[in-house]
Amino acid sequence: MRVFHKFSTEHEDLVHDVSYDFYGKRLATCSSDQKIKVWDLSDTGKWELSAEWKAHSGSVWKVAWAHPEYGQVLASCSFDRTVCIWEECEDDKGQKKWVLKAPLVDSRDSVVDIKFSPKAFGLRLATCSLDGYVRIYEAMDIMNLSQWTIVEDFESQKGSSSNCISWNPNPYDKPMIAVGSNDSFIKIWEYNEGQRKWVQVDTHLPSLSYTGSGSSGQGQSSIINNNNNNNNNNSLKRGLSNLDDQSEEQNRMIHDIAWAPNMGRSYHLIAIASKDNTVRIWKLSNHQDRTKLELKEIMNKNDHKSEVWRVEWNITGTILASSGDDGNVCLWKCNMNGEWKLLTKVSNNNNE
Amino acid sequence: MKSLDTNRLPSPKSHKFINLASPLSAISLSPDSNKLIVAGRDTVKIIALENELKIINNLKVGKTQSLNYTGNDCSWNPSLLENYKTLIATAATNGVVVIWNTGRDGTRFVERLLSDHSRAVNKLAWHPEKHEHLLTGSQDTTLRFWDIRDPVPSKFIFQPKSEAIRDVQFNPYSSNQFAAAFDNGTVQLWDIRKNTNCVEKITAHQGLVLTLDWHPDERNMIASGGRDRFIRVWDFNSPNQPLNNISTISSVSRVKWRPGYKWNIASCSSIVDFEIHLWDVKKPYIPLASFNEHRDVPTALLWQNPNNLISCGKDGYVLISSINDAYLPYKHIRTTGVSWSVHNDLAIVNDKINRNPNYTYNSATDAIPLQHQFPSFFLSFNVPTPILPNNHNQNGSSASMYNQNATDQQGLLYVNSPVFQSSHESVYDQQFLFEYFAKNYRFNGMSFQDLCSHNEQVSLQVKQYHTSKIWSLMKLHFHDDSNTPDKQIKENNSNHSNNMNNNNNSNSPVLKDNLNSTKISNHKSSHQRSDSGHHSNNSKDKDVYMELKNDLVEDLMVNDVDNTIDPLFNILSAEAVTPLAPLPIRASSPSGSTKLALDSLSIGPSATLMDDDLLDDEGNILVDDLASKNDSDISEDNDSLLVSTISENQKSSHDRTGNNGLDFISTRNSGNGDDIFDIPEFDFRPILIEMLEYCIEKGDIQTCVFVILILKSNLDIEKRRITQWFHSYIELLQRLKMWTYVLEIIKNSDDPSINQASKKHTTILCSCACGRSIPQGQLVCEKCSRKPSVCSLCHLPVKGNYVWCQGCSHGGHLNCLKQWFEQNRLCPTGCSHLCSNNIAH
Repeated sequence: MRVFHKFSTEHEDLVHDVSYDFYGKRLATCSSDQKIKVWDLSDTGKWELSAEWKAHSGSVWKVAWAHPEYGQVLASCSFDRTVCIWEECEDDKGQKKWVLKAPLVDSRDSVVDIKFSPKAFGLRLATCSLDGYVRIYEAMDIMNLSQWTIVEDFESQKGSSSNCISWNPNPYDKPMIAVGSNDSFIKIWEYNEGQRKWVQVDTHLPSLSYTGSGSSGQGQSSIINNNNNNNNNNSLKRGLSNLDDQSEEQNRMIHDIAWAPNMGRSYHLIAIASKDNTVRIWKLSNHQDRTKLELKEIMNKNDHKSEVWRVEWNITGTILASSGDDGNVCLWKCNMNGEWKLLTKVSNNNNE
Repeated sequence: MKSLDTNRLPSPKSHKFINLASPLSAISLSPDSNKLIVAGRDTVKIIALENELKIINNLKVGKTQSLNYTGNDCSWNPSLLENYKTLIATAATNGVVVIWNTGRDGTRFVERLLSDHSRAVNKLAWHPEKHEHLLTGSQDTTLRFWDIRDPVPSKFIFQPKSEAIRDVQFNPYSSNQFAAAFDNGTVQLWDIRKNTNCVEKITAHQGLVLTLDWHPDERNMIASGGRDRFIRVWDFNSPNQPLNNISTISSVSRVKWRPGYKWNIASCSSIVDFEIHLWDVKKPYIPLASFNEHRDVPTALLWQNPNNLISCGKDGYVLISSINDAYLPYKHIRTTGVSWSVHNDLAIVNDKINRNPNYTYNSATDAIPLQHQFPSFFLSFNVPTPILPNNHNQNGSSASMYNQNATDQQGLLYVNSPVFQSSHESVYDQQFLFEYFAKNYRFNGMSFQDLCSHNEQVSLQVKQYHTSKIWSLMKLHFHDDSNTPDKQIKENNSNHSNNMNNNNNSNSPVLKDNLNSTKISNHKSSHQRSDSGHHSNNSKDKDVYMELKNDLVEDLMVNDVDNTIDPLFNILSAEAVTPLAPLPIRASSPSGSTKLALDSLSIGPSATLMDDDLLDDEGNILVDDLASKNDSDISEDNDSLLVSTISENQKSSHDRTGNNGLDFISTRNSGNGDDIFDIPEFDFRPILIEMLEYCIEKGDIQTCVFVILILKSNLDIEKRRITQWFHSYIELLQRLKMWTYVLEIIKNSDDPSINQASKKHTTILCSCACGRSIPQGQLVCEKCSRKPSVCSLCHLPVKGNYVWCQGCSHGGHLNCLKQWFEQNRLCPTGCSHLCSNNIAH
C-alpha cells in the first residue's frame, strides 16, 4: 500500500539524487558511476528506463529538470567541476537521445548543487560549488541551449564552501537565493536592481540556540536589516573564535536547504537539513515596516538521530520530507496549532 | 573543512610543511628515511625530516645558471652501504644526469656529470640491488642503464623505437625487470639483460602515459596513470585487460600505492586539480580521501608511512599530510535523494553508506578474509552501520541478499504514493481532491446563491466539511438576489452600526440570527434550545465560532493521529488539498461515516435522504467533543451552529429539488419578522479573509481562488496576493495537465495580468502568396483575388481548421485529410511527399 514501486536503478555505485520532472511523469537519477538515468512512467504505471548515459568524469551529485516549456532539459553537476546541460533530441531515425548542449566549466571545485530558477526569471540555473561561489547562468536564447552565460556570481562566504542553494520560488519577489554553507547559518541573497548585483539580505540568522553565550534558545525571532552594514556580534564572534569553535561549527554545517513553494502565503518557509542531525524550518516574513525581514525558527527536530542530508517540500509546501543516514524519510506537517510535527517515518528497511 | 581560497597558507592541520619559494618537481627519501632530497626548476635541496622540516643542505650553491643543476627528477640511492647512501642522482631538463655525493667535504657535492642524453631526462631509478647502477628515461626516446663507476658509463642503451619515456621503475620482485611509461600510451616491461626487445607491452592509455607504480606487495601488478585521466591497474600476467580503472577529473601525473593497504593508491594531477586523492581501486568513482593543501598542482608523492604522505608541488611547498586530516568525501556525500512529484508521490533513494573510513581501513588489515572484503565493491559500501536499530531483524536476510546479488541493496528507488485503491474508503487523497474540485467547483453560470450551494455540495460529497462550511457561510452572508454581495455588505454594515447604537442588549447577532432562522424553517426543536442561549454578544459569537473551528479541528486532528494504523495512510489522507477537513466522522463515529458516503450526498432528489437521526447523531458527536472543553452555553451555541450548517445543507438540497432558490432568505425574513432592521449585522468579510488565510496556511489555494472568482474583488486583500494565488493555482493545474481548467480560470479572472495570458500568441495572421495579408474570416485575397486556403483534396476554400503538412505545406480540411490518410500515406496533391509521418497522428 505504501510503496508502489520499488525497483533497482542498477547504478554501479551510490545513487546521489533523484528528481521528478514538472509533471511527475519522469524521474532522473544520478550516481557516482558517472551516469544519469531517466525513467519514464509507462501507461501501465510502471517505471521504465528510458535512457542512460555517461554524463561526467566524476560522481554526479545532482540532476535538475528545467521547466518543460524549454523542452526536455536536464542539468547535472559533478565532482569533475562541471555542470552539464542535456537536452533530449531526436536523431535522424526518430530515436530520442540525450545530447550534451553545454558544459559549464567555471567552477574550481566540485559543483554540489544546481537549481533552476522560477520560470518567471527566464531559463536560469544557479550552481553552487565547493569553491564557495554561487554562479547563475542564463540561456539568453532559449532556442539555443548551447549558449549559457554567467549572468551573476557571488561568493557566499569568504574562504568557505557553499553546500546547497535554493531559489525563492515566488516570482513576485525579487530573485532570492538561500545558501547553506559550512556553518549553521543560512545566508539569503537577493538581486538588488539598483546595484545590479546580488547582495546578502542578512548577515546572520538566529540559529541562536547553538551559538552559546549572548544568544537565547530556539524560537526567538530577530530582525534583520536589509542593508548589511551593521556588523553584528555573531560574525565578530565567529571571526574571533578559535579553531575548536570552527570545527564545532562545521559539525553543524548545512547539508541541504529547501525553500517552500509559496502558494499564496504571506511569508516564506525555509527548511534546512543539517549535519548536527536536525531538521529545521525557518519562517521568513516581512517585518511591519517592510524594509526588514524577520526570521524565526519554527521547527527544530532531531528525529533522524543521524546526519540529515535532504529536505524537500511537496508541491503545495504543506509537507516536508527529510531523509538522513538512518535510512528513514520523515514527513513533517503543520498541525492546526501551527506547530510542525512528525507525521510519519517512511523506512525503506521495512518494505518488502 | 574544504576551503579553497587560493591565497591562503596551508592550514595548520598539515603538521609539517616548508615553503621553498620555487616550483618543485621531485622528492626522494634517503635510505634511513630521515632526509629528503627536493629538486625543482632552480633548487636542489636536502631537507631534514625532524619535528620541523628544515633545509640542511643546499646542493645547488652559488649563482650558477647552468641547466645541469635543474631538477626534473631526483633519486636517493637506496643502499645503506656507507659509500652509497650519500649518493643522489638528479636529472636535468637538458639531458644531464648529475650524481651528487653529500658525504663529500667542502661545498661542492657534485660527483659526476653524465651527459649522454640529448634531451630532458624525465625519470631516474637506482637499481634496487646493484647500487652503482642507475637507469634513466629520457625525452630523447632512449633509456640508459649506467654504471656510475665506469668511465664510459652508459653501457646499455634501450631504444624501444617509441616515443619519449615518462617514467621508469624497477620491479620490486624481480630486480632485473623494469617498467617504462611511454608517450604513445604503452607501458613496457623490459629486462636489463636484454636491450633489444621488451618483454611485455601493454597499451595502457590513450595518449601519454605519465606515471606508473609497481604494487609493493603484489607481484607483477602495476598501476599506470595517463593524460586520458584514467588510473589503471594491470597484471603483467594477463595484460589484455586492466584489473581496475579509476576515472579522475584531470590528467594523472603521479600515482603511488599506499603501503600496508593493498588497494589504496594516491594520485595527483598535472593540471586543474590541486588535490591529491587517495583511491581504493575497488571503489573507482569516489576517492577515499583528498589532501587539499597545495595551492598549485602537486608534482611528486611519497608515502612516509601508511598514514603520512609527503608531497611537493609547483607552489614550492613540501608538505607532510596526515590521512587523519584529509578531507574524506565519504563523510560529505549525499546518498539520499528525495523528490516529490506533483501527484504527491515521493521518490526515495537511500543508499547505505559507511561514512567512517577507518572502519573499512581496519577491516582491510584485520582478520577479515579477503574474499569477504572484496567480492565486489558494493559489499564494502553496504556494511550496515552498527548503530542502526533497524538492522537487527534484517541482518540475516540482508547478508544473504549480499551474496545473491549485491546490487539489490543499492540504488533502490522507492516511489511512495498515497493513492487508495478502494473508493469506498471515506477518505480521499490530496491528488484526487484537487482534481475533483478543479473539475466540479463552479464559479459562473449560476446565481451567487446557487454557486455557493453547488460548491458546498461538491465539497460535502467528498466530506470536506470545513470547505463546505466556507461555502455555506458565504451563502449565508453574501446572499443577494442581484448577485452583488458588495451592496449587501454595505447594507449589513449600516444595519450593524445602527444596531450597535440602538440596541445595547444586542441579543441577536447576525450569525445567530441566521442560525435561528434556519432552525425555524427546519428544526424547531433546536430553535428552542438556541433561543435560550441568546445572551452572547456579537464578538463573543465570533470567538465561539473561531474557537469551535480550532477546537474541533485540533480534537479531530489528535484523534486522527492517535488512531493511526497505517501512519502514512492517515497522514496523507488527512492532508488533503482542502485540508480543512480532518474528517470528523472517521475519527469519532465510523458508522456515521459510512452513512454519509458519497451516494447519500449526491446532488438531486436523493439528497433528502439525509435523515434527522443522522444529523443529530453527527451534531451530537461533534458537540460531545466540545462539551468537555466549553461550558454548556457555548456548547449549545455550537450545537446550533453545527445543526444549522447541516440543516442548511439539507435546505439547499431542497432548493435543488425544485423550490425557489430564494426560499431560504424569505424564510429567514419571515422568521424574524420585524427584527430585520434591528439585527446587528456584522461585516463577514474579515472572517472570510481569515478563513481564506487559513486555507492558504494549509496549502489549499483552490478554495481561495474559487471564492475570489465568485465574490469578484469584494474582499480587502492585496491585489498582488490575489494575483499570486491565481498564478500558484494555475501552475498547479498546469502541472497536472488540466489545461481546459487553466484556460477557464485565466479567462474568468478579473486580474488583467492573468486574463491577458490567454490573449498572448494566439493570433494567426494569414498572408496570400502575393504578399498581401488576409484579414481573419476572409477567404479571398483582395489583391489578386485568389483563394489561398484551398483544400488540396476537395479544392474548396477552408474555413476554420486548416491542417497542413509541415513538410510539403499542402493541406486542407481536417475531415478531408483524415479520410485521405486513413488509406494513403503520400500527399493528396501528388507532390510525392510522404506526409503521413508528419500529419497522420
